[in-house]
Amino acid sequence: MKLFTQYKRITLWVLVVFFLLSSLVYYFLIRRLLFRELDLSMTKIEKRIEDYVQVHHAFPMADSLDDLHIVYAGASQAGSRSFRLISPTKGKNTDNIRELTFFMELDHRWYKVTVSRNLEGIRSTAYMVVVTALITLIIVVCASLLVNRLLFRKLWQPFYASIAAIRQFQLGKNNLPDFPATRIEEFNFMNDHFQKMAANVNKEYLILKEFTENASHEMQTPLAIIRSKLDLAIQDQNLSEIQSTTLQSAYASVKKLASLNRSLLLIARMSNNQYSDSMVINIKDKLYDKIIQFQELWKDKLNVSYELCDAEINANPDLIDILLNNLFSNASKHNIQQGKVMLRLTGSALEINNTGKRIPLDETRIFQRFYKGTSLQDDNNGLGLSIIKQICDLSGITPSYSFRGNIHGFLLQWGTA
Amino acid sequence: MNLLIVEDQKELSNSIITYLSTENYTCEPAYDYHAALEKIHVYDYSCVVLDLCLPYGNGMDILRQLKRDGNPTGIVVISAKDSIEDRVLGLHIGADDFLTKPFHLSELEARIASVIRRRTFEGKNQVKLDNLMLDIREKTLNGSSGKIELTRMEYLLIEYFVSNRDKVVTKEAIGEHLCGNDMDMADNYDFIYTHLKNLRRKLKNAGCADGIKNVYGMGYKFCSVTTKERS
Repeated sequence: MKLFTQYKRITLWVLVVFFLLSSLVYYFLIRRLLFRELDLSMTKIEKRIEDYVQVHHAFPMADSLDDLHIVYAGASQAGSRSFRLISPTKGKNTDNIRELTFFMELDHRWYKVTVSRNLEGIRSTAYMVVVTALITLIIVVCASLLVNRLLFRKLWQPFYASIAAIRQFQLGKNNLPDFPATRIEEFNFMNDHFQKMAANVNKEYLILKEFTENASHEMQTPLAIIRSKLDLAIQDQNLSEIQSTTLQSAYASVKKLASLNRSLLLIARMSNNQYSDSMVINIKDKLYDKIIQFQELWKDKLNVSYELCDAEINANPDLIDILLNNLFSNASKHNIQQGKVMLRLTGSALEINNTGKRIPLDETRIFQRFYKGTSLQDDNNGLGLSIIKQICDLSGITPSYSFRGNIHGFLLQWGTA
Repeated sequence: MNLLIVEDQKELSNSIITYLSTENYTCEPAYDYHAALEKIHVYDYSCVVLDLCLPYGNGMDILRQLKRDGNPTGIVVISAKDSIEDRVLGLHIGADDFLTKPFHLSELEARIASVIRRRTFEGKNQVKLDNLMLDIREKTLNGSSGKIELTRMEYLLIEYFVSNRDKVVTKEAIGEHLCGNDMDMADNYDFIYTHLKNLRRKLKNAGCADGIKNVYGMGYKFCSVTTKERS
């Protein structure tokens, strides 16, 4: 829910309740006022009657003007003076009546005098009050909605501008968000903090990235020394079997470390945007070369079948080469004896299927770094697929994994070339 | 043949020198930028192995200097920085080859041999293997009864062995040589065995003594008794 909607909802209710309450109060107030005026005028009439009776010793003529009735009636004794309101009896279309009853003595006899007055005026006044209140309510609500809408849009404009600036911000791309200046203190405060945060995050990220790359570089030389020493050690003619086995496992570990290091460097470089140049690549030719290279290696071990259509992709050629290498390596590494590798290239998709273990990989974690799937052999650094994913992300390719029977499949799709 | 090893890490430099110093090569170390420049000015080398990160200077500048002087020496760059820019720049300035650390010494020797052959023999280079002749320019193996058909992999294998005569080369090194650094073949080097088996059979059929020896299941060694390089 938008802030404005929330605001609108609250103010609307408050307005409605406020107006209803105020018109109610207004109504009663006016009624009271009118009654007082009425009662006052009736008290005046009472006084006039009393004066008349004192002078003439007779009641004045019962005036029967439209809204004023005076009735004299004999009474056995004096009662109290009172005002009362008479509501119309059901079924009769008459107005409310305000009535003053008082007693006076004339010639030692008590008379009850009733002065009554129609309340038609009050009813229409009350009606007017309600209608006016409702109309005012509607006008005020509409006006406030309109004004608020315009005002909100204007007031919140710096906020949306800041959000747009943040959206433009990409980590490690060195384009710190540029927040537009505003006169509103709160927004300036927010922008200030965003700016500082972005700068900090960016700095930390660059330091981390630089660290990864430097650490990997620094490891290369000691690795080169270890490997060269091993290369020398095995030249010894008199190595015992135990020694050579030891050397062999040292070799294997150095190799693992070297390949892990290479993968980390590649990842660091990719996130460093060192592969940003792109060109249109004929993926069919590339793939064909790779298949030949691959078949040379795996001659009798694996059976490769393929179906290639012309296809192009706009990407970095080095990355595409690494991508294909990784896909092919995966397809062969996780294959079975005398297994198959099937390739299908259509205009905008590449499918690589290979036979393998009858256990599917975890689709949700497959592209995570250091995910090793079900492979028990630890010759896998767990970075291959995450590199594939990262290359795909950089090249506008969508990778997906499927498992049918004992066929593991990777589908890469890219925009219509 | 004289080689100059420009590498500031003494341990690595020593290893390279020990490995390469056979009857074929005489190696000299240079541990920093100035020493390297001085040696290059004074002596002639068949090949310079050049590290890019050096004390007091950058290997790229040494490379530029060599090219500016019109020095005919071959240059193999070894670098911890495997960035494409460096590689492209190095090769563009005039390096003959580019090797990323950590490399196998056998790979380095193969690259050096290839660079020297390219530079010194002007294309005419053949290696005699018993009764066969390996033509490195044509990439063929010729017997008395004509050309012996080798697959690309088999040729790469025999060339690698010839470059690393009398040395034990590991399966890892061979694997990387055959399929490049990028192909991650895990620890599965079965494919080498297949190609090697075919190569041996072809050599045997052509009447060539089998110089390829298995070493403790760790790698192979190609014995040189009957090989001789000639131009």
